[in-house]
Amino acid sequence: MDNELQAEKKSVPFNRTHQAIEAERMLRRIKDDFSDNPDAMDYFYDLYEQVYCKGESLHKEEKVVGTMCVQVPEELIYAAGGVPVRLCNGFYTDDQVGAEFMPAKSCSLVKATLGMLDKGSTLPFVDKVENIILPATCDQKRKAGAMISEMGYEVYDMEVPPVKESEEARLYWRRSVHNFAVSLKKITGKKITKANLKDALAKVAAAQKAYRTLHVLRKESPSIFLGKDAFMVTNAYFFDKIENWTAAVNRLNAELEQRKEKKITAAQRRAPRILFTGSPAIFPNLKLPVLIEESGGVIVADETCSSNRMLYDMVAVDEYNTENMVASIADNYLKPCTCPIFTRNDDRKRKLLNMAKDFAVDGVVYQSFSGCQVYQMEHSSIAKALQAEGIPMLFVESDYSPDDMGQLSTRIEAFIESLKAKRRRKR
Amino acid sequence: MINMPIYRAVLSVLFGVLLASNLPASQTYWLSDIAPTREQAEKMRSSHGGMVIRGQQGHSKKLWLRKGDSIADSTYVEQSDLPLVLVSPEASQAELAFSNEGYADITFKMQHEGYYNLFMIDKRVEDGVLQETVLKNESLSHSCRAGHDHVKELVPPLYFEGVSFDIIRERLPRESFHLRLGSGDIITYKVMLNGKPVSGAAVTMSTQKGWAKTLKTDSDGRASFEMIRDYYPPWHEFNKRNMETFLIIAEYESDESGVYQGESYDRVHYKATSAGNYYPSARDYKSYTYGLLIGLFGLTVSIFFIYFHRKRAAKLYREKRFA
Amino acid sequence: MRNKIRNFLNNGDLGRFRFWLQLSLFILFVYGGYAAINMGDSLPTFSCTYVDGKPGTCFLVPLQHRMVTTPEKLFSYAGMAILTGLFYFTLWFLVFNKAWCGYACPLGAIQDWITALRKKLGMQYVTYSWEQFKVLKKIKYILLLLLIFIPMGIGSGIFSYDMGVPFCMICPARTILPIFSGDFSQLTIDFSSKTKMIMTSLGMLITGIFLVGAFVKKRFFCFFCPMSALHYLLSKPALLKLKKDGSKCTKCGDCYSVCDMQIKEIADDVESRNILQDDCIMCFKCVAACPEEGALEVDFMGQPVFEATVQGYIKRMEKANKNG
Repeated sequence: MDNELQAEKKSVPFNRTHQAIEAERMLRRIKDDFSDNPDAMDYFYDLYEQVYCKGESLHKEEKVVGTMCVQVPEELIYAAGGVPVRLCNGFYTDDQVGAEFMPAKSCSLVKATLGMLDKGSTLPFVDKVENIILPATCDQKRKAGAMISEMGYEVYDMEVPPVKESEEARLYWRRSVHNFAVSLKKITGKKITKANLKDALAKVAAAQKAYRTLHVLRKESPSIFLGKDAFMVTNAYFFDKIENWTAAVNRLNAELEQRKEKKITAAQRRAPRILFTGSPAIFPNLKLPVLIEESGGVIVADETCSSNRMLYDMVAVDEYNTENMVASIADNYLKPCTCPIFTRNDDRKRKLLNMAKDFAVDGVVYQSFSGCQVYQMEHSSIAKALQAEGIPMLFVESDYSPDDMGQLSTRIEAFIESLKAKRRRKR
Repeated sequence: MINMPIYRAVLSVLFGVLLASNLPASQTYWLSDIAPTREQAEKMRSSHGGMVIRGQQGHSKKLWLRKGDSIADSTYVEQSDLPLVLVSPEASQAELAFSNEGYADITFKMQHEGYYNLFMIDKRVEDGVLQETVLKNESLSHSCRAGHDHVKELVPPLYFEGVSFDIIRERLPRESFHLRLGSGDIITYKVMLNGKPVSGAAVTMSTQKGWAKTLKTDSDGRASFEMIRDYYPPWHEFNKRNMETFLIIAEYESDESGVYQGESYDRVHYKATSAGNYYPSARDYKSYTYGLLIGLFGLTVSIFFIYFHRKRAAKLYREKRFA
Repeated sequence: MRNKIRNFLNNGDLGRFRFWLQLSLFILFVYGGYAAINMGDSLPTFSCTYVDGKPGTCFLVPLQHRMVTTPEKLFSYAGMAILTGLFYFTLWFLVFNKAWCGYACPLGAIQDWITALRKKLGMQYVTYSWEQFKVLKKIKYILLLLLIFIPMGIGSGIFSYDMGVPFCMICPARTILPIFSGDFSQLTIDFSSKTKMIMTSLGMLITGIFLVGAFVKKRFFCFFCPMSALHYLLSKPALLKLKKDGSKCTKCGDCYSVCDMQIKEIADDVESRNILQDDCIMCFKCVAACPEEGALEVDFMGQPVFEATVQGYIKRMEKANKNG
């Protein structure tokens, strides 16, 4: 397989690679299978086209710093003059590459990311990634660090406390972030100063503000925006230039406001409102969200690290000097984090229940990748908590392979039907 | 040869006993709040404005009649029938008399807050000179329990019209009921004749230890004394509440003629006395220098402490020790 | 209309409002007496009795004075006087709860101005470690007990009268506030007796420590203030309340980041509704910094007057980033 791909790289233009074809297929489905996409979404569709299908690189001048996992404080990377690019990969193509050297029962996301990194220069949207910041979160990400180093990358292991409630954990994480901030100088060549950190905070805050506005707009009933587009928007945050992304989301919000005024809805009034949670849906692996919406549901909110969790928690700073800003940033990336890698999941339960109530959700779809021990172990306690509030949950175990589409669509459709029926019964 | 001073003393005592109800002009009489005996003193408690006898509904003030030009040589008069007038802070007047049990003393209750003025007026003609003598005492009645809202109006001195020759202690700037006159304070007395300030009156202040000074009032009727400092105990025996008495005597002669109680006169000799107490000045036991030094010390120690603490905290990670 | 008012309040610039209110109340509590304002002697804030222009007196002064009594008298008329004073104190206090600390206290205002000076100089603040915090927070209760029992000791003859108003002797408000009317006399060491010497020395020492402490730590003195302890003991029925809706809290810790008093419960406690802690000065910076709609709010008589909103949060943070 490796030789085949190497050969492909040399002889085949990018847009004819397996990867590009996979991207194009999903992109088509997202665009064409739904009618009346908002005009502002064209920016995002074109962006994916440009980057994933045509292989154009975005960040030509800046120093790209690869990140894996949502705990990496992006403000610090921006302040140090770098551009954080989230490397978590959604391609089945790369998943197959990774499967060569990863254990059979591994997380598809990690396999795909490792597969992509192993291929080397066919990373689609950057010219070169030398440095990768890898927080020690779940088992598989933790072990991936050494493997990635062997592939020739500079990996920075970020220490994450497994218990986040204690004061020791807070201090440990603060030191970890502090050390990271200091080592960024070696990576990007620039030191973090009060001025550039303030600007970085403002930049990220602007993006978060745009996301929050979008988040609130999705509360509308009937829904004015589909989940598949929401995932496209947030997945774009992985790699797009932040100013462009913020501007595009603001344009989208303006258009959605207009749609709200004109009462143009994206889904039917009776469409069951779904909260999507669990293993992250990353383009082009948006099969589950797309399935849900093709079956008549609408994803109004999500709790995943490829979407909501990346952009939701905003940093508050009391005094704008470097030490305090770094400390505030550190706290903000640890305490509200609902990633299942931590020992307790009370925060996640509370967040899900609050979102379910806020968004008038009818049902929750809990996706877990095969091989993901942490998400699978949490799903029963989440189901119980939701059940206590009368919210049904569908647990779906999936991976990147397209083979389970049939089975998935059956289960999803059944779930959506049961939600519709429940609604009818309520009336 | 008879010892002249003893002869004089005996004579004056005889004179005093015989004419106990009169005040010979040559003698100075004044009202004092200092008890003559130790037992009497122990019945008193200190309060704002001096020694009082404590009571449930307000304190009582006890005053004694004393005679003598200097405080140190003065004696306590045992009997007197001269009438007294008490003016309350509400300007109501009452006529009182000495209770002559052992000493000529007077006790009155101070129910209201403010200054009580007690006057003893003696008027008689001697050798063609009308002697008008006014003995005055100003006592303060104040209890913090009643609060301090009403104080400001009650501080200024009352001008009593029934008195022809009056000495009034002017209030110090920002004076309150908690004032204690101290060494170094400028005490101003205003001398009033028939309700108007009189210039050229002789005002003498004398202290317990024998210092005396005489001034003439200016055109506004004022004479200002800077309270002297005469308390120099050894360092460890210094008592900031050490109280000493001073006596003010004001005298004025005017060429007025007339008839009083059948006797004619062609000159009037006015005399007024008032006593007060003074304490060591706060400057004698309060030091700014030491205050600032200690403050700076605290400041410096804190700065060093914080500096080194932060330096140390940045280096080590404090390990928790086992019990 | 009601929504308009609500939005106006929730989007408000708390920092600016607080600055002007603190300045006005500082002028009231230091110079108000000159305008013949009389608020009595049961005030729940440091309206210092040594300040010439005070409009009223801090309750701790008459409390210490009246506690100079014997236990027999305490259970008769002297006790009545204390209870009466306590009653008026409670009336004043219950209206604004601990916001007396955050907005009215002149010593608090001075500390905030010292903090502003430090910020201007670009210097960083100091925080207590969790172990230090746990130990030091008890000091305010110890001081409260001392200022009640030492005067009682004077009444019973154990201590000399020179120990009268023991807390006032060590309080930095006594030395610093009169300076604002040109009165430096409280900066002296009183040598008239050993007790006075020690107490005034302690007072000046603490003044020096206070100035440095307030410079490096936000609201340094408030952590040790016995008035704060007394407040907290009476705070349950107050009209002004700080409320939290734990179900909306994401534990993002923004409130903790901005809290002057390093209160952890504001971020970590998701069960309690009434989230007021004994260290809290009710400055409401936490509500201003909370990005979750309705997670924190300030209620007056049950009605919300200032709530955490996303819009308000964004407005304030954008402004802070621009200016800060």
